[in-house]
This record gives sequence, C-alpha cells and structure tokens, in this order.
Amino acid sequence: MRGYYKKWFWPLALPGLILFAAVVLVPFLIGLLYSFTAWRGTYFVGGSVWTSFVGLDNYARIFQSWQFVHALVYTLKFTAIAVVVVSVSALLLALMLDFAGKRVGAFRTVFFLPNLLGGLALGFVWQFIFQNVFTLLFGENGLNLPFLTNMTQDTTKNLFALVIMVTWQMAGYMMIIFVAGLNNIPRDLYEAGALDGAGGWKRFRYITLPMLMPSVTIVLFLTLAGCLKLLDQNVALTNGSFNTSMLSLQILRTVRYTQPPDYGQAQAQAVVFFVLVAIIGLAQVYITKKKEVDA
Amino acid sequence: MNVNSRNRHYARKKWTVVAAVLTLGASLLSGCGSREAKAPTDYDFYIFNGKTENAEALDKVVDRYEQETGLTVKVFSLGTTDSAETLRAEMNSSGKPAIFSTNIGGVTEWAESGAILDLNDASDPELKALAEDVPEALRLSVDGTQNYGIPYNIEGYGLIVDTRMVRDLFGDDQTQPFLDDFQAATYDEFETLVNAVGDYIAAGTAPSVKLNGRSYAFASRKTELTSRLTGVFAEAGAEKWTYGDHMGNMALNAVFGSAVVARTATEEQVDELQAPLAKLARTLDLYSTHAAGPDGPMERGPSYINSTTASYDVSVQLFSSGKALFIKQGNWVYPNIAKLNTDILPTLTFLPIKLPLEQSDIQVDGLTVEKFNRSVPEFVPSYYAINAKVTPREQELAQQFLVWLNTSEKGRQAIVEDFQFIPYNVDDTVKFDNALNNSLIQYKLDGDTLSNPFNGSPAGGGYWGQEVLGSILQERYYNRAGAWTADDYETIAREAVQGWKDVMY
Repeated sequence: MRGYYKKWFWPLALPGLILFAAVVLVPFLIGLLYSFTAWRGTYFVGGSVWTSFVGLDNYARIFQSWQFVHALVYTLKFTAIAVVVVSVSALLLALMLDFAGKRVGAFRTVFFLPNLLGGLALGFVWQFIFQNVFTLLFGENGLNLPFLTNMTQDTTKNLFALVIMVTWQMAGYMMIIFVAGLNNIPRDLYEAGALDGAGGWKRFRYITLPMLMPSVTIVLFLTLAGCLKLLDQNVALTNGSFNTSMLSLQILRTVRYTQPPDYGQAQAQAVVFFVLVAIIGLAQVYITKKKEVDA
Repeated sequence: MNVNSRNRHYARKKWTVVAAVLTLGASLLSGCGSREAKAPTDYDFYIFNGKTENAEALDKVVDRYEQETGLTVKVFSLGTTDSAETLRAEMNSSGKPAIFSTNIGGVTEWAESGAILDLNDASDPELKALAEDVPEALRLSVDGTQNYGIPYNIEGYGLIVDTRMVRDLFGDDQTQPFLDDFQAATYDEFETLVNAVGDYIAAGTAPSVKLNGRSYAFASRKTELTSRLTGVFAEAGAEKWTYGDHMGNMALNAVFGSAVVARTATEEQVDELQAPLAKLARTLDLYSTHAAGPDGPMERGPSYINSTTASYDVSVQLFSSGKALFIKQGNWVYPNIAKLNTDILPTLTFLPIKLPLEQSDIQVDGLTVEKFNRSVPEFVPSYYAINAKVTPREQELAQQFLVWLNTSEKGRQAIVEDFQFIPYNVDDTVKFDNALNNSLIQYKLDGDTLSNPFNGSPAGGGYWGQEVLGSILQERYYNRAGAWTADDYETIAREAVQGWKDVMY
C-alpha cells in the first residue's frame, strides 16, 4: 500500500494541487500584492501595479476606520458566543439521540435539515421571524420579554439574533460529527467505569469527553471559521443597519462606500481578516489537539 | 534515506512547488495588465445595460437595429444596484462592452481608468454633434469640462397625488385651482394643509385652509374615496433611500446647483448644509407624524422601520389603495402602481416637495425660495458611454448605434414607446399614456426643475444619503415614539454634515 501511494502520489495529488493553486493560492498572492497598491478594481492609479505602489498606506488606514474596528469587535463577540452555543447545543443533541431509540434516523434528519438552506434564504426567513413572530410572541401582549422583540433593530440584540439563527443552522451539522465520535467510543470503557462506580456525570466527564476530543477539535474549528467569516445571514438580517456589520460585510462595503472604489484598501482589510482567522483557527487546533487522547 | 536527507528532499520539493506557483502567478498577473483589445468573433459590438427597466425593450429594439444594419449586437442587462461589480468584471475581461451605462456617481472611476471616451473627441461627427447638443446641466462629467455620455432619459420625483382624492376633499370645481395653488404655496401653507387633512381624516371635519392666499373648504361629508384615508403620506421607513437620498437631495439643492458642484464641494460649502438639513428634518417630522398605515395612522416606532410593514412595496400599496393622500416617489413607481390599481393611473400627478427655507439658506445663484418650492427634481439616472478600450471598429459601431437611437425616427420611437422613457431633449410633442411622465414633462417645459446633487455626495451618492443621513433618521428617530424637538432637527443636520466631512478626500 505504501508503495502504491509513493508511486501515484503526484498523479493523484496534482489535479487538486493545480486547482487549489489556481483558485486559492494564486489569487491570494495576487491579492496580497494588490493590498500594497492603489488598486481600483479595473485599473491601478498611475497605470500599472508598480506605479500605484503605496507601501503600507492601506494597512495604516485600516484601524483609522471606526467602522472596521467596530465590525472587528462585533465579529469577535459574536464568534465567542456563537461557538459555545453551537457546540454545546450540538453535543446535547448528539447525546439526546442516544435515547431516541428507533426514531434516531428521523431525528437526525430533522436536526440536519436547516443546514440545507442557503444563508440568504435562511436570513430572510429569520428576519420575518425576529421582526414579526418574536415581536408578537414576546411583546407586551405576549410573554413580555422586551429583549426578544425587534431584535434586528439594536446592535446587541441583533448579536443574539444572529447566534439563535446560526445555532439553528449549524448545530445539526455539528451534531452529526459528534454522533460519529460518540459511536467510536468503545462500550467496554463505560462498562469498566460503571464497575468502578462512576456515575453518569463522571462517565461523561472522564470517558466521553476525552474520547470525543477529536470531534471537538473539528467542531470548534468549523464553527470558529464559519462564524468569523459569516456574511449571508448578516446581509439578510440587517445588512449592517444599527452598526451590525461583521467583518466580511464591512470589507464588501469598503468598495461600495468609496468612489472610485478603493479595492486596494478592501484588499488590505481582507489580508488582516485572513491573518486573524488563521491565528485564531490554528491556536484553537493546537490547543484542542493537545487534549486528544488515544483509546 | 536518513532524516536529514529526507528533510532536504522535502524542502527541495516544497521549493519546486512554490516556484511553480509563483511562475503561474506572475504569468496571470502580467496577463491582467496587458489584456489587449481584440476584435470579438461572435458579435460586432457589445452593450452593457445597467438598467433593468428597459431590459426587455432594449432587446427588441436591438433586434430591429440588427435587421436594419445586418450587424450582430450583444446585449446584457442588469439592475442598477448590482451592476457595478459585474460591469467591472466585464471591463477586466477580454470581451469588453463597447457601450456601457454609468452615471454621475460612477464616472470618476471610468474617467480615471481611461475606459470612457470623451465625446468631445468622438470619431463619429454625428455623435460629436449629438453630444454637444446635450444641455450643459445634463452632461456627464467629472468637473464640468468633459462630456462623457448620452443620457438614457429623465426621471424625477415629487409628491404624487391622485387628483380624484383632491376632488373629493375640496370639490370638483376646486381641483385644478387647488393643484395650481398648491404648486405656488409656501411651506407654511403646506404645513397647515397637512395638519388640516390629518384632522379631517381623524374627525371628518377641519377648518378651511389657504393655499397661495386662496381659501379651500373641506367637503362636509367624506366620500367613499376619502373615507379610505388613514394618513396624509405613504411612507417607507425601512427604505433609507427614500428619505436619505431623495429627501436629502432636496436639502442639497439649496446649496449645490448640480452633482458636479456637490462633488467638488469645500468644507465651508458642506457646512452651509446645516440650515437646509435642519429644515429638511422638520419636514420629515411632519411627514412621519402624518404617515398612513393599513388600518389607521402609522406611528413612529419599531414597526415604522420594519421591512415587512414599511417597505417600498408596502408604501406603494398603501397609496394605491387610497390610504394616503400623497406618496413621495418618482415616475419609476408607475409600473408598480399599475400592478396594484389601474383605476388611479389616469388621474395621478406630481406636486412639488416643499422645505421651510429662507432666502439666506439658499446658496445657488438665481434660486429663490418661491422657485424652489414650486419645482421638482429631474435628472438623468444613467448615461450611455463609449468604451475607449475596445477596438476602433467597435467604438465606431457603438457610436453609430447611439446616433441611430437618439436621432432617427425609429430610435426616438424606441425610447418613447418601447422604453417608456422621457427623452432628455423632450419637447411638447412628446406625450405618454403615463400621467406621471406627462406631469414631469410639464414641469420641465415650464423650467420648474431642481437637480440631483445627491449623486455628487460622498461615494457618488453611494454612501452619505443612506449610511449617514438615512441611518441617523432610521436608527435614532423613526424607530422611536415621541415628538422631535428643534434641537433634534439641529442634531440630525449637524451629524449629517459631520458624516460628510469625515469622508472628504
């Protein structure tokens, strides 16, 4: 087998590598270069890449924009809350499925379904729910919970509206990963634990959780990256009104709110955004990987 | 292999991959910069149309042109809001459009890139003459010296009213006098009228009002039509462009005579917006306190800006079903009303939007308060421009098409009948079935028009109107109940001025 891979490694890997290079790596490198120029989307100020070179100007201007800083903080706040809520909900759903008996397939499908809806469609559905259903349900004539009314008309409330929506969408998918992880834990570990007198909580804490760490790594990574890069739902729900732009939307707006469109500036923002996502993602994988144990 | 040599082996391989990628990248990069104009093979020239309103009609018209000339023309249409990015992609591709649409906001980009042909240098003498005939106030330019495009059409907006509603409020013989006197009326008279109509809707009776000094008494009984009214204005609180851009444009008209003047404004000029903007806020206060809802007045608060209860469509619906006396909209709303209620189409007309300005607030030469308050903004929303970066043959053919469209009998017919557009060089021979178009033509022939300086506000109108003025109003004033004070008017104006100055460059 090893010989097979050795011999066929390049023929098998090459198509993927070429595609990756052509649609990800090369554009990324070009983008990196453009972030140091006065690029306007269809042309460079002064005529060519080299004449429009502005050094670190675009980067220096990033943090002078309060909109960008606000979007950055908003994105980090949202991600911190959403990652916890999504992972915990997904884990609870997965554990609950253990008790679902014969209907486990049906439940799994239902929980997974929201994930099939596109972000924009989902956003508009939830916009209606937040604006009308929630406002009626939790309004003065209903359960009187003002925090849950008109959630899309306030910076903080909208943060939680996004969390609710993203949890509904992503938890089912993450649940599937946890279910697979749970199924891989050998039953005899639990039997041994039970014989030693470990109760339900202790078995979860000392057997399930450590054995589930590989799944936790994946789930955390996917939710982290997904939440940091969230765009469609943000556009559909508020489109940035009430200072609710997250980073992706803010970067898109940079070219709309400048004329001629300042693509160089937006590109520099995108590079900063990439570095941020990369650092957070890698740090998380590094930390959770260390906690993984072998059976 | 020992560990060291294996590492070196991988290192070498890694560098091979990196080198390959860089070579590929460099070749792509050089490709971007030097994409030469190449003659297209499957069409003679290409029109990128950034206006959806005439998308289908343009296809038909181009078909006719193809039959007449034997040429093959590629047409691609896309709506105004999404078209900018797509147009940029097309301009970067090897199949560049020969004719593209742009406007007073987008022109700086194409002028700087060199992709737009100054029609003063057009190779076709007929097109050059046509461009020279475009009235100076309607020309597409960066700083007033160039002439970059041929206007698509003229659009305008104001307070749309169903004259039958006026008839039922004030009596049949009073309808035409009312419309004439309304146009000439002062803001204070307008304000009194609005309050009185509000009282009449609520109580069925109101004292008579004066317009242009003449008295108008309300009908003693509500009719079937007037009993539908729930408010004076059909407002769309969820749509920042309706108040940020278009009402904001009213205030800008007091200081800037055109979009080009607004674009090149100094800080001192922007400061002069303070008074007109505060007076605009007072006007918007009046509008929003008299807003119509589906079953009664629509009050300011969360539902006033809710996109399911206060969208553009909802506001058009409210007006079309007779719940509001006025809707502040443009002639583009006509097809939407036609879908909802064809009965009111023949009796629609435009009345001017008024602001409580004083002469000292107005900085535009020759503009008086009286003139301001009797005029409606009319402007060119889009222009046809020639791409200087396609082959000379394509440029030549594109110019011939524009000449045909704007000067030939068939072309003129296409603009008026197929596109349903008001030609930029309209005269009194042009008549539409569309009453709103006819109303705009009348204002234009009378010379009672204002301009579109909002298209010269920061980011070519793409930023300030909605994201500064619109956001302040929507997120801090329309969304809460309670009265606005004179201080509120000043605050709205001050922050809107500051928001403009923050992004001046």
